[in-house]
Amino acid sequence: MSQSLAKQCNEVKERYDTCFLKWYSEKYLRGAANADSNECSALFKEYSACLHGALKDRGIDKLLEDAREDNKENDATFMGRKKCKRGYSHSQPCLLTFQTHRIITRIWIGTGRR
Amino acid sequence: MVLTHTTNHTYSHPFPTVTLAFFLRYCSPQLNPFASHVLSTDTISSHVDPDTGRLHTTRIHLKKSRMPPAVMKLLPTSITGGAADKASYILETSVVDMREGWMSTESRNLNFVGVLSVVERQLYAAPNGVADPGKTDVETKVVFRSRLGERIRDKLGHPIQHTTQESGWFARLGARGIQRSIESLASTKTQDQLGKSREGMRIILERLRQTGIMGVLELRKRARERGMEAI
Repeated sequence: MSQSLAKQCNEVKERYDTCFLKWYSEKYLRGAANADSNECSALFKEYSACLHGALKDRGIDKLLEDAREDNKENDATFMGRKKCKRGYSHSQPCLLTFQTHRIITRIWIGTGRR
Repeated sequence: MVLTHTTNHTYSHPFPTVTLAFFLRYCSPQLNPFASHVLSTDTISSHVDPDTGRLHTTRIHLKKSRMPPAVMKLLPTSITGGAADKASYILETSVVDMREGWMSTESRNLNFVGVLSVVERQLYAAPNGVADPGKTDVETKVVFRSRLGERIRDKLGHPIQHTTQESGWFARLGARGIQRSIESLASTKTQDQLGKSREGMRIILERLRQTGIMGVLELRKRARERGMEAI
């Protein structure tokens, strides 16, 4: 992949990315993945530990929190969509979810403006 | 105020390959010349749900200013912080279900949300659920929402003199008109970018068809080594 946000994490990120892409293409896509034993998890731990400080320093942890707070109304849609096994574009209940979301959004924005 | 834009597209590649290309799309400018605006990509979480077998991944991309320059010009620096040349953090979440054959993704900007929030959702699946191994449909829905002047004050809790300045500015220009302009400018730019993003995906898909994943990983390694030498 491209660089890491934090230069000092580039090396471990590179190793993790390579591991992930191999695992994804050779195991996950072939249905041979085991949820309990992901061979990249040790590398991921190392990579996360490295990245943790950078996310904090740049205020990204705070931005992530804000995004979660700010988009609670979107979460309803997101959760709804996950239930749509074949996807929201192909089934009626899921389309309804999206419509409902739009209506809620409009009401919510309307209220905010008053 | 919300503006929605929906497009459909079909890739002439099998679903598993398309999902792999999604993860590879910001891999390196050598692999995808349309990704030179991506400054960094990091995975912050990745796990397989033991019950459903779905892979949930969260990544953060840093891209050169996601905000169209025209939007930046519309706004005083008291709001943008002179951010025209700054980069945007994009949060990307994705869920892949190989058993059921679909992938859903969502990308949203993390900064500048007070000015413009862009949420792009994509759903990749084999056409109409029919097992056509050579094709993948993707539906892209982008929602633009500008809440300029609505939420900046209460959400960010800016100092009082800042707030006064913003109110005065909005009173003169009309926040609704500005919001509409921002959404429409952003929508025009995004439609243009969707074409480039597809082009990038197609280049990666072609490379995967020719050399497979190992060939792509090798290319990426060589590009990286050349980059190191250049430094």
